[in-house]
Amino acid sequence: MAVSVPSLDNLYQKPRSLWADALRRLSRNRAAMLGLLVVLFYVLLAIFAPLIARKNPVEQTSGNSLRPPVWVTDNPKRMPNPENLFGTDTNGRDILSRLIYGVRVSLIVGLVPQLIIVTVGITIGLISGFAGGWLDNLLMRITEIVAAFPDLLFIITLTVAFRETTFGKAFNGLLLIFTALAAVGWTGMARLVRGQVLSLKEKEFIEAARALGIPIPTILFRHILPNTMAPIIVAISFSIPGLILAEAILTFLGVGMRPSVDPTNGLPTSLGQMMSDGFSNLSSGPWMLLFPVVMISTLVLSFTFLGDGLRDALDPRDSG
Amino acid sequence: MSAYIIRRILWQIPVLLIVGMMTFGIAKMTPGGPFDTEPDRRQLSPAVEKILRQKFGMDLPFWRQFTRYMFFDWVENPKTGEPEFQWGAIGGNFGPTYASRGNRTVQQELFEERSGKPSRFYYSARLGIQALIFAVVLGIPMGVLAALRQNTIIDYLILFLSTFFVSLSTLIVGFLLVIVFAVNLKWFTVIPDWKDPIRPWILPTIALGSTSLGFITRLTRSSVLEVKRQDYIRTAQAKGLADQIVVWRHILKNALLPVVTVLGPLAAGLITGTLYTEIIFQVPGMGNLLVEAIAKRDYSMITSGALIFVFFLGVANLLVDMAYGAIDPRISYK
Repeated sequence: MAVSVPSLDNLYQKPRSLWADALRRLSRNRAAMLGLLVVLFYVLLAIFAPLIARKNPVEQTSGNSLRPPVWVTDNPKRMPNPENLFGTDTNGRDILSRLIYGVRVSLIVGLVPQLIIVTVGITIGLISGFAGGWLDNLLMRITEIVAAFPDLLFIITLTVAFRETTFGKAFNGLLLIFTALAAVGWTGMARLVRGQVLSLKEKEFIEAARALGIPIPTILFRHILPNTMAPIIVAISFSIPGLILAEAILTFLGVGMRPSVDPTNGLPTSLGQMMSDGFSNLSSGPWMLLFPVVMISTLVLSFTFLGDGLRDALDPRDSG
Repeated sequence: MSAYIIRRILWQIPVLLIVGMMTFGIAKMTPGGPFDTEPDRRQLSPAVEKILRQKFGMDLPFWRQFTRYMFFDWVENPKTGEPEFQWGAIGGNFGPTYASRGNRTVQQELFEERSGKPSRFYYSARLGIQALIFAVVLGIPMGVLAALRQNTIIDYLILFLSTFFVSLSTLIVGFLLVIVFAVNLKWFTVIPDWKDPIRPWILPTIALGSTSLGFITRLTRSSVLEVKRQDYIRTAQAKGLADQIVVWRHILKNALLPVVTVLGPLAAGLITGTLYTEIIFQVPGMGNLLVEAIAKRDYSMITSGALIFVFFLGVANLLVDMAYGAIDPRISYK
């Protein structure tokens, strides 16, 4: 009787870390990989915008306004200009170049407020979850009130109020948008971290750390925080598209980014600004609206797919 | 249950107070007032300015202005000179608007009929309710269908569509609908005719309901998948029940509970979503008015609008909670 002898080599597997495992699972997820690819493409566009864009995004050419994209040749009165691949807007500005710079602003809006959201959220979540008692109660009540306010309305109120101040005008109004988005965005992160801390602090390894007399800040930052990283990363990847869309909505409502006409400005326009312009010229130049809509859709969907993939990769138990 | 509901209602009070205080305070900090509402920047005669200041109570200290706005105050009657009791926001009086130079109040603008046209509130409420019905009526069957045909092409299609709706927000879906159906196919006019009782409502309803539709579909799908795995479903199938009975009586009844819970958070999206849906489709509702107020820097309208939106949101959440308690006898509120 032949007995297959298990190969001993298989017993000595290289230890695999959580992150390496997650990376492996992520790389097998085709939708997530496609999302990652598109995001990387847009990030490169954003970084190298001045090199890639063939025209200056705010340069106005007279007599060249409202040109359709080069493949639209059915209107003999309005022929495309071969120099403007995606056509031009009402001021004769090149849409493709504006899109490239617009993606830059959208990505910045999606990422920069995250720094504030993560810092505030983690701080409050850690304190609230670990301290417990009246402090927890107080912090959670504050969180609840901020969360009770419909976020868009709160952001609008803030941006309306501070728009005309120096602060509101900094970086074409982007600084104010960052602050307003972060001012409402931290509540979800705080609740998430608090929940994680609450469940972690009952675990044996934390009990062991405390029994060993390790100081509380070390327990918090060396033992608890690293274990909350996975859900935090998933939460960030899901909130980026929300922020990008929020900027577009604010700008569409007239309280967002301020358009710049300065040719040296590195952040001259946003996709929201372009959609707003396009919407007011809907009948004369529908491509003005179509291109930024397609661009923001692909960007947002890519982040969503990437986020879905990250969640499945980092938390294999739940794949709802 | 009733104690829980009373506590939830009481909790709304500090929320509304703080929201009111924040928006009111921010509005007061910003420069401008009833005297320099754009686009009209004429100089006012001192007499008119005095009347306006009085009308808006601007010579009072801040806390008096706030309590007058929020609760009540005794206001001097200009004809008799006698102080008269006047309710504030809690009595449904939100005071005059800057844009009208104090001639019209916020509640008149929002809830009164305008020369034969229905009130702004009517348009927003109807749009919101239609969008919710659209999302529920379409979302639940789509979710059930996707779950019952798990890992087929139907499932993938529904899943992609709902992910698309959830992540793209009403704004982008609205733009896409306008580009495709109004500009390209010309099935609808870009400028709506509100005398028509159905046609102008179709696109805004779909746009506003799209996010909720995606959410409900995804949630129903995963909820049905969860229930399908339960032992009692296997028992029901093992004892020879027809598939349809198992789906209707056993799966759906249990799978739909979680769907009810998200209706509260979805109401928030529907309420703020009216802001830009109404702009895209030119619906003459409350959201449209509020955005106009933002453009005109009409702070009295912005403050009251925010407060009213938060109030409706609280009501919606409360209704959902009560519905949930009524549907599921296992839920006990403490």
